[in-house]
Amino acid sequence: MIISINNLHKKFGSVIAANIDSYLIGHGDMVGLVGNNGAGKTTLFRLILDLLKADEGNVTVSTNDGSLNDADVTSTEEWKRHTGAFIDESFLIDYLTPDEYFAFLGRMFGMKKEAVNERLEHFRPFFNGEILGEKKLIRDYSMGNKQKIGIVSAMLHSPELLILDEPFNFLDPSSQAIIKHLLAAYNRETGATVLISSHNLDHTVEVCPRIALLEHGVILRDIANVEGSAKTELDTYFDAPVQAAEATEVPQPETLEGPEILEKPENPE
Amino acid sequence: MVKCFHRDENKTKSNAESVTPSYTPMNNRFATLLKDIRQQRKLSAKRHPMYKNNKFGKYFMFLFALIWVGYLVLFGFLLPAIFREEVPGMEPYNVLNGGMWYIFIIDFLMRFMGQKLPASEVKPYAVLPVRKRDVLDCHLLLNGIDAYNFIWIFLLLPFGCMTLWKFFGLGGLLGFVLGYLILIIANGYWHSICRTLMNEHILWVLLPIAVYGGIIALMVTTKWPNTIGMEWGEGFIKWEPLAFLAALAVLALLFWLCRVMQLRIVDKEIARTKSTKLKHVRDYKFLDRFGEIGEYLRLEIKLLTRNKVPKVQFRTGLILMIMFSVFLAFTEVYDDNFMRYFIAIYNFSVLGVMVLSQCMMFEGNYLDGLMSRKESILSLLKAKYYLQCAICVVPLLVMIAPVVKGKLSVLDMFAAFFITIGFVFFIMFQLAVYNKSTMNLNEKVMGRNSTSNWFQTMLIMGGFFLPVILIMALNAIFPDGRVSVWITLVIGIAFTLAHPLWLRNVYKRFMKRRYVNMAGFRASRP
Repeated sequence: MIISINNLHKKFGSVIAANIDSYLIGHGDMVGLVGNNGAGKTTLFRLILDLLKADEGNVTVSTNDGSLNDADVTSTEEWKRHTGAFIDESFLIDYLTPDEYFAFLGRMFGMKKEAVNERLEHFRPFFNGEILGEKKLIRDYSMGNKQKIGIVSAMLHSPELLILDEPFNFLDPSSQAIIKHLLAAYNRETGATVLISSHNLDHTVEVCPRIALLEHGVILRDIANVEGSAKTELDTYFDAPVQAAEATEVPQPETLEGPEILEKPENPE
Repeated sequence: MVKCFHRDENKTKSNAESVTPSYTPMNNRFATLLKDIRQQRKLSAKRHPMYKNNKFGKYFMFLFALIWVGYLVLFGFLLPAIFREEVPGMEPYNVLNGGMWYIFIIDFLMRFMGQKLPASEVKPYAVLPVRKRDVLDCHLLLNGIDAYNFIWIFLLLPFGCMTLWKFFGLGGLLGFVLGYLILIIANGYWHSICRTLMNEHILWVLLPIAVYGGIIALMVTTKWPNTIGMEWGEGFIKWEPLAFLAALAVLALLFWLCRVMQLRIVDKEIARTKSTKLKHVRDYKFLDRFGEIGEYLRLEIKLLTRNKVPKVQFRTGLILMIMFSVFLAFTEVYDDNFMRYFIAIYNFSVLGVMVLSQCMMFEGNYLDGLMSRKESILSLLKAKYYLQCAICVVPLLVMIAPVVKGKLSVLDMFAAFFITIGFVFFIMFQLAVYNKSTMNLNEKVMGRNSTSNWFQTMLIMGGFFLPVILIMALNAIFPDGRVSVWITLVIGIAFTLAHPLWLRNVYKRFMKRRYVNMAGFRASRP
């Protein structure tokens, strides 16, 4: 799917959450959105998914099969059939069990039960035996497992456009490694357009061949990431405030040195 | 080295003093904590999302309190005359004292509207350097001095002025009010105990029913509670130490019981490792044949059966429905035309109105997910409608008793059925367009967490009363009562048959307002 962001502006009070003149994401692109808190990553995703109204501008999409061509996401719902997204817990129906939830989503996207089960088999290692077949409501799962359920729910129907907000959050190291592999393989094998946001630069650089650096709603840099080449540029950008702070830091008095404080004398007198 | 240690120790101490909250000096600790928690409770009430998103809510609650106070004052002035007329051989204050238990029952029921359980307030302080029991004590004390407890003064004071003053003067009046206040505060702790137990298991609802029911039964059979009430109330009026000691003992006992119970609940809540596995997972396979709507029907059934709030609403509605049917069938209390029709429509509508007045508010919890799928909202609305229509079979069964007893005709019953699923539901579904606050699926139903707003209240009133007003107006025009019922039936059937049209209209209007609604749902999500 091709996503075209055109003169997109969104403000919350005086805070600018999106201010993008033009940005194009092509068929099969895998884009990582990075930025500090409040940069506008989630807002951009919500605008793309028509969950938020833009003050100005629009987002248009074109599907691979040509059924949609530069269609404004606010004027049609057809693109939803080709899209999978997980932003936060508000995407989960938490009084269902994971199996029920996946079955529900499968049927919504016209999948047969067998197809849903077959697809879920693909994610079995990611679930680590804790999700499928459990008679447990989603609301009773840990944050990490809810995150897994959310990610898989977005990928279940093999969408042309996959949007995941902070997919590595709450996941244990093994699951993070698995999801990195799953996302890269999904993009490579299906040619789907994948958008993810993350605060974890290492993961983003590892997975995404294209990285957008977002700050105050503006895409500051659109970085081509060939075999981790974006890492240095991103490190330099995000380390700059730390280095500036260190440069202006007041030296601590000598008496505050740790070891001396911790050592208690036998007789304080 | 030694020198350095001392210097640093002092430094560390002074740093600690500057950052530690002022709870450290023992004598001031509790008072400071009490002050802080009182402030936080005030802010919590003031900044509740219901008021933030709905300015009307604040005024509605104020108006409700004002009406309640007005009622109490009115009864305070009216009851002496009523008691003199009904019980001529007895002073009105003796009659009230004898029936004091009714005040406690009403007070107990009213507390469901707003009293918070202290245990639920303690969790945020669990990791702070404050003792849990101190936080709990603060909340229990604040519950004891809550303004609500003193609302009964508006009944007791005018009543006392009119009945006690001439015999016992100001002293008697003050003793009477003070004694009752002690018992009402104790009743508040009793309410907290029962509510805590009910939260553990719904069957604990039988405890207050047994206690108050037992008192009423004893009043009818032996008159003991009346005698105790009269003696106790007169003891208050005459400032007899024993009467106050007994009241204070009851207060202390219930406070202690409540405290012990709440402490246990707090510990249990903090260290909760509840079993979260379901015993049975029902799939409702028969719904498969209905396609996408069947899928949403399945979702609706699970919504209503797996979450505390809709479950409590359903039970409450069912109890009210059965109660009204029994009253209508076996007593003459509601024999006039207006009440007959009102009860018929109320019984059919109550379950639907309870759920549909919160249309989309439950879904607010996961609306972003629903909105990311094509036209799912229309199917959801249809499923909601069909399920509520199916649920109307329950009142159809419950209403058999009034029909058998001749209080309602079969035609009345079917008119009420169709006007409900046609017209009343048409009105209630309009709320799907305008509701924009998320309702927690497992929080309590009533009180500050309720999300009534101006529009919702008006529509609920409209849903219940418009059909009755219509029937009454038609009755006034057509002397034969059956004509009005037939017209009502036809209107009901017409609205029922037109449901695909008005549901689509609701869907389209919802989609137009989707950004505003979604922002509201997001902002009020727990």
